Amino acid sequence: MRLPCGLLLSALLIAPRLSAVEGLELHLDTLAGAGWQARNITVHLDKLDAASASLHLAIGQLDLPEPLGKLKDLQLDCAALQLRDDELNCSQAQLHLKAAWLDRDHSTIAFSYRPVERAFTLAVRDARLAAGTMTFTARGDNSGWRIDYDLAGIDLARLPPYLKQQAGLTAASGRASLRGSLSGADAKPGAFSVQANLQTLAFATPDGANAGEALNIQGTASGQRDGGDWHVQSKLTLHDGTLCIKTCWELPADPLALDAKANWSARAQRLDVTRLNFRQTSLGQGAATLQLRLGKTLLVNAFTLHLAPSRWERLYSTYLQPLLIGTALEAVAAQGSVAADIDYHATALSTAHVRLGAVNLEDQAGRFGIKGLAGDIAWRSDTVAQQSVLRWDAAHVYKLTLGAASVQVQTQAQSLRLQNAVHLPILDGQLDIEHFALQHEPGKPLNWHFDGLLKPVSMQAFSAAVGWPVMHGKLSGMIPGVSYTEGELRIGGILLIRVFDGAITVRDLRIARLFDVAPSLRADIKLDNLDLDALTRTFAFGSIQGRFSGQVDNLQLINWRPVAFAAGFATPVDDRSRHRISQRAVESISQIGGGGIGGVLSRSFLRVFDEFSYDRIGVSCTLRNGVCTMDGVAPAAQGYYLVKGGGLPRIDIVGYAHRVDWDTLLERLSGVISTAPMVR
Amino acid sequence: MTRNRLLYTLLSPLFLVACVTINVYFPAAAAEKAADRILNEVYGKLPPGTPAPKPATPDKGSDAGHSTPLAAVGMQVLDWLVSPAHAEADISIDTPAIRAITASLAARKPRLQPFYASGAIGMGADGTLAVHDLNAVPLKDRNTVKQLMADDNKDWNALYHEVAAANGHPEWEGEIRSTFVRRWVANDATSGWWYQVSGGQWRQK
Repeated sequence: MRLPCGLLLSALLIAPRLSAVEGLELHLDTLAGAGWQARNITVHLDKLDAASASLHLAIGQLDLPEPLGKLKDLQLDCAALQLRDDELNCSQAQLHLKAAWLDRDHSTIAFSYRPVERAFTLAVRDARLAAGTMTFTARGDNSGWRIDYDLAGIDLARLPPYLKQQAGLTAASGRASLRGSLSGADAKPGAFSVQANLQTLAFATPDGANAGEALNIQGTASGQRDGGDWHVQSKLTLHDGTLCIKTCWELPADPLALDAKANWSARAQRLDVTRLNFRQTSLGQGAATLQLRLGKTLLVNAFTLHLAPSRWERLYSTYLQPLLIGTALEAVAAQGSVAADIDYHATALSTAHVRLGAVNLEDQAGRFGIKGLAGDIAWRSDTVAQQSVLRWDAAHVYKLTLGAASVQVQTQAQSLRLQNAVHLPILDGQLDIEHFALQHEPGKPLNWHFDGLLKPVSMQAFSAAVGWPVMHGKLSGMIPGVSYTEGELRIGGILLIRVFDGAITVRDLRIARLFDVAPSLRADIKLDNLDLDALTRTFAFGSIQGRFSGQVDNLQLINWRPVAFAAGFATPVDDRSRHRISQRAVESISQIGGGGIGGVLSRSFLRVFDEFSYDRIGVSCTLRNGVCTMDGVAPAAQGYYLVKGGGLPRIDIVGYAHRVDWDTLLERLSGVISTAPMVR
Repeated sequence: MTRNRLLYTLLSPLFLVACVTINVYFPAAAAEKAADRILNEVYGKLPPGTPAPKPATPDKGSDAGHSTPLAAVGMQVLDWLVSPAHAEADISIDTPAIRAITASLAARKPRLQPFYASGAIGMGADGTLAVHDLNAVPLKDRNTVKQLMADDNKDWNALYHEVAAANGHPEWEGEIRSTFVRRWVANDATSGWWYQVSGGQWRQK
């Protein structure tokens, strides 16, 4: 049986006139109104008199508008129901009802109903919900309904699983206080408002990708329904805790204040945040817009960001660093200011304009750094070319210091091209870069190349920078092609090092994994006609006069330490210079040789000479697996000549060890160079 | 018939050449040994001196030259000329770069261990680490895991690249990856750890 809502109440209102009746019981299958429906209803009236009665109402199931939902086994007892011609009213009734979200199944309520206006009121005063309290009042008439609620001290961990499921969460905890209202003209709510205070909020979605911990959120939100859409406004502050939306951010104690306006279309599962103003004292402020597709996966359709000049420290350490893990910028100390306008459309960045002011970046692993970086960077994904300007005061790559420079570049889609010739101070010399071009096609590794000229860098500065013994001379070169492809840096052309009155040329220099595990360098090096006197004086090795040529083929450094090469150096065959070797140099060679090399020098009579004459001097070493396979300038009995004598006083130094441990050899060499006593 | 014989005679050097070309195959057994050595250094599962596992069956390419009788004869001649040990390529992993990368992986492994054990991460089908269950990672450790995985995966990718390059066959990288995953599952993963099969599904050891 389905009866109009008023019928039951009409029965109640005519009851007083049935003065002969002491009790009345009514059973109804279904009773329905706008937005609600009740089933299995029993109304029992007792102690009927002209103006009052005792009411017992039982409803098997009551369907109310969301989010109240289904209520089961509702029982209402009102000892003193006031019955008047135009109203029935109960100022104190006991309500028993079971709902998944209620702690206690009984509460005290008050209600009234005026049939002419179809107006009702309902007040719940002391409901208990998840360790907190709930009061609410509902009122309605022909024109609509409104609920005012106040939930205080709700322990979210104690919310029934049913509510967490409704919210799509596997876990939730924290304390919540919410107050506000919900209203509507029909079954669906037409407006809401909420003032919320969430403390130490934690939550997680089933896959764990979106989660929060120890979050504190305070704020207000309100919304109005427009057909199937909602217009929502909200002001929130967030502070402390961790928030993960795929990436995790640790929020600082300094609150992030958000002021947002959004439209939500349930049918399209689309959220358009038309305004998102944000402000944080330690960061700065800005505005964003956002278009999201919700549903099974979260999809960002569009995103714009305007960031007013803000502080790099906060922007980097709180917001950018978690996104940069796995890149070269994953751990840098950052200072300075940055402003940005960014436009993201259809899953790709479409325009970006970033303005940097006095930015300092210092890689915490010491691999690179830049100071006083400033300028405008403009970029668009389409083919319209954009001009950018960048300048910096100082920079370094490992220990190679670079000076101030200014660059103008043109960006066009995925490419970048240098517009001006750049004169980059490098140590005490200069690198002139004529052309520089960078490409980063989607899905492909970044690559770039440049052509340049290295104006002389003193070997003093270079050797100090790379931690070698101080050398004198100049490093320079034409660098027709430096390229970086798939993580490998290649230097084409020839690096020319004018040192020790001769020349060292470096060809085919390649560095793989420059900023990654075990950087690997390979090169071919040629030494041409070096003055041994200058070389040996530099290394305090003992004086050797003469000339020296040779090569290091296939030099390989891992972690900047030699691991393989085939090297050979010797007096050039046609060398006509004076060939002398000092007593000290002979000692040095003997010491380096340990028991294996040298030792031919007689400790007795040859000591009377300060120096000796030689014909050729030379050594070769092929390094493989930590072992240097050695040879000299010519074969000798059971060994090889390191120094082949000639003239008077003549000396031969013969090496016997063909295989020498490389680390031992280096130790001895550094021992000889650092002690450097002159033997007289 | 005579014509055919003439044709065979003329073509026989070609068959021999064909045999030699086909015989350059991915040395599955050697790759497994190499993977076992590296993985043992990283995960330290096998006690030192444990004999290498029994080699797997030779790779598909090895018998390809026997499809015609004459080619079979050619193969025998080749086997006689070049002993099988010579014909089978070896996998060299004794390069400084591979040693450095292996040491870097081994140094990071203790920090990753709890995340393997909790099921948070596992070995992906491509031989790099992948997230298996984010719920197993406390939020405060999420970025640490992300960082460790990014660093480890740079190393794994560099390792496979280097092993292939050190053996002069960059095209072997894919097979080297799958060999490492297989041996990892067999020897190095502790019971309870997760790995991904080629279809992308997760399995627990």
